[in-house]
Amino acid sequence: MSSATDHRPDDASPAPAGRPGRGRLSAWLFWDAPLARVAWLRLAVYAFVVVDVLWLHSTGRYHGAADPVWYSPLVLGDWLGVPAATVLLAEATRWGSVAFALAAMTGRAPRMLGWATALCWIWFQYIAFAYGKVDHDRADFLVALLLLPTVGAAHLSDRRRSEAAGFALRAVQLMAIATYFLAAVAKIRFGGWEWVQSATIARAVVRRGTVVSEWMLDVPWLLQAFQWGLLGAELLSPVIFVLALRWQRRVVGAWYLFHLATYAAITIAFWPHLVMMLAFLPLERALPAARRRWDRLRGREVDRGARQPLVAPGRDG
Amino acid sequence: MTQTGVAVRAADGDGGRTPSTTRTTLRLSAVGRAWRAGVVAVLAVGFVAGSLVGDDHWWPFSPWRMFSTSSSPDGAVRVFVLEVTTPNEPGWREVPINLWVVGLNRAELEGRWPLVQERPEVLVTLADAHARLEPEQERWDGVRLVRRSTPMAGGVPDREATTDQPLAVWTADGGAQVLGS
Repeated sequence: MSSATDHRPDDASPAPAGRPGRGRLSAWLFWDAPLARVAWLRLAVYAFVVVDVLWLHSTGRYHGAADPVWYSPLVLGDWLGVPAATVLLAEATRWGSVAFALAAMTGRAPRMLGWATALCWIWFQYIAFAYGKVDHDRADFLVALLLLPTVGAAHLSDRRRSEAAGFALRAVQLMAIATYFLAAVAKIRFGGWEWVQSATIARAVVRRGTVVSEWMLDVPWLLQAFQWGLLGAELLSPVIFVLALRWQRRVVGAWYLFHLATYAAITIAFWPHLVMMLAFLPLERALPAARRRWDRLRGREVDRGARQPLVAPGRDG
Repeated sequence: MTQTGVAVRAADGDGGRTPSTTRTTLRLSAVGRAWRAGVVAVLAVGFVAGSLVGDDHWWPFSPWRMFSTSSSPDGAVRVFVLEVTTPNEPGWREVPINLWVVGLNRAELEGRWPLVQERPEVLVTLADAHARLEPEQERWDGVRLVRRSTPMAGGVPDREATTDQPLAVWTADGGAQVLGS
């Protein structure tokens, strides 16, 4: 049982003598989180980078073969003078992402390897997006790649807590939820309030529908009802931060179900965002819990000590 | 890095649910907190500004505009189609518009339609890219961009009423020209 308000200063470990008092917002932003959770999240993030550039979002490298006439620099590229892609540059950033992410998964040199991974992955995304089409689901992942290394050393079985870890996790959570809210802002900005009554999802089904969704084209009110529900859920998404921990996790589960349904209907998944949402979950308890379940399945006596959670529940929002 | 903070060994304060050993909590220094709070502020300003007034070129601060446009239930779904000819197959035939065939995907080509209108000769670069990406296949000697429209009524597409409109063409012997808008 925990909520945002559970992270009040008197719920945290006592501050060292001489430290100024902490405001509520500061205590919430810099909560003392389990370092092991950051280690697990980093593992997921770096594993995702490998899968992403090799399989999920690997095609950006073909821009190296496109004529530079199609290069349409983004503001970032204009500022930094980033040139059009070449086959060599595209492959270097792609395989650099793989190499640094694999190295970062070891947990060694977390800052250097983490930021090297971030640089390669961001550049590879830039190459993918600087030819006229931006995939709008990938910006939030930058926050994870750039801020998770700031935590420094963290081990999968780390029993320490850390405010730097709490900050990084909170920033990733905030960014993940901001994507929902800002997606609603974009719908209102570009589609207007009439977006909910439009045929936007119907068009998506026409373009990329599956057997799961194509029958819905004959029931257009259903797709519009979905649009009402989606916009409402996106606008209300920040409420997650004032919910009790148990409900926070249920809401995260509901978002995962939403993304699963979206994938089934129009084969679109916001993969990096799905990784970001892991920041809400007690990842460091997953493996011990799975071990216990496995032991139980095998009929073993579960060691009493193993029942002890690595990190106490109730303080880890 | 400023996570030099002070390591505190604190007694368990969570109802005895943790092992009875002491636990270390790493604190942040005031400087460490300040720059992190600054990063959050900068990110917040960037993402909010991008959502309110930015466009795709602002990436990573571009608006989250996936499926954000409002489409009329009675409008038409329009997509670009690419047709090509080769010396051995002189009739126009459709080929996929994707990165591993022409180095661009369909949305990218659709987004650069103003460029094609201005300089239709850029279509030859698609044939060049295809020759680089699929060298084992016959080189294209004609490239034609077509807009395919499927009308919708009440949000239901009428696929039988789908029409194709040629927009621009390049051929090895005839040069390039814009055919439609």
